[in-house]
Amino acid sequence: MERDALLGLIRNRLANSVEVGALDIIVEIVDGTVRLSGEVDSRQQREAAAGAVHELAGVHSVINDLVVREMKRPDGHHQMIISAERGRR
Amino acid sequence: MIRVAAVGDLHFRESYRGGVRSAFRTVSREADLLLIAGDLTGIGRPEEAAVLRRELSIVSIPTVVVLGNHDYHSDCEEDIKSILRDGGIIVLDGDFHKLDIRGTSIGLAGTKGFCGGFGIRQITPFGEIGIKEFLGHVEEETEKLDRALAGLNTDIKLVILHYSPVIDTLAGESPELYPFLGCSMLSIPVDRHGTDLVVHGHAHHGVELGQTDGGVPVRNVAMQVLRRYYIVYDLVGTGG
Ligand SMILES: [Fe+2]
Ligand SMILES: [Fe+2]
Repeated sequence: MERDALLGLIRNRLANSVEVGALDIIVEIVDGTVRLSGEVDSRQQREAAAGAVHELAGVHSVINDLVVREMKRPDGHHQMIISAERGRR
Repeated sequence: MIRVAAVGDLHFRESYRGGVRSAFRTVSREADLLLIAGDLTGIGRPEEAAVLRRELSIVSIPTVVVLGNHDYHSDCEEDIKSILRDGGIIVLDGDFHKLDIRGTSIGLAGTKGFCGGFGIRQITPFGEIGIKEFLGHVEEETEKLDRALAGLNTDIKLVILHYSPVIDTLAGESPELYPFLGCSMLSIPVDRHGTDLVVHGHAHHGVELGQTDGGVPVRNVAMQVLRRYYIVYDLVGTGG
């Protein structure tokens, strides 16, 4: 299979898989080896992405360089915005 | 002061069960309302929306959302809207909603928005029907936002979009993607009607801060940008 066709197939698979559903995973192919990189939301999503690609014909091996996004704490960081408060000016 | 919690792009999958519930455990104490700027689900399946609705039931402050492109992917957007609405979540799609918080009237106008590009590089509806239809969709979304904003005469006006109305918040994204991340047409009604804050998502690799030509603050609140499950904007009045 042509490299570009396979790339398209992989991106499509990653976007449509119930457990992946991501459009922003970086996909590279070198000699039939697929490398996935970028960030995902969870460990399950990371494994599911490699699994979904592995099943495709034309993929010999997958290098899973995806990392799980680290979230900062606290969740609710406050930032001030000066509002115009229409009608009160 | 009105405290607005905001996030976008939760991309909720059924396997995240429990994740959102714990992330939003204390938001109702920290803010007066919660805005979610689209891409609530992974691939737009009603099952994802149903689990998300249950998880969001932990939030006791008004929760106002718009849908994103991911929520349209399975052609079930109407089901998703009704599932969320059944859970008391306010879903805006070219409409507005008004609230009163400690005597201050708050107006929210929201729609998904769409692609089209920015400034002098905005795509022109010229040539093939495909291009005209593509631009037609963002024109329609812009009109929806305009009508929604026209219905508001509140002390504070907030706009929720999924796509970006400005280029500022896309810094860090690949330039090839810009025309698919938003459209400056969406900022026209924002500036025309006056708005205190616009939140949007969709640009996972962009930055948080931006503003329209008219000086309205724009915030890209995609979870992937914030690296938090939400941020809280304290809107401080200059008047009164
Ligand atoms: Fe997204
Ligand atoms: Fe999106």
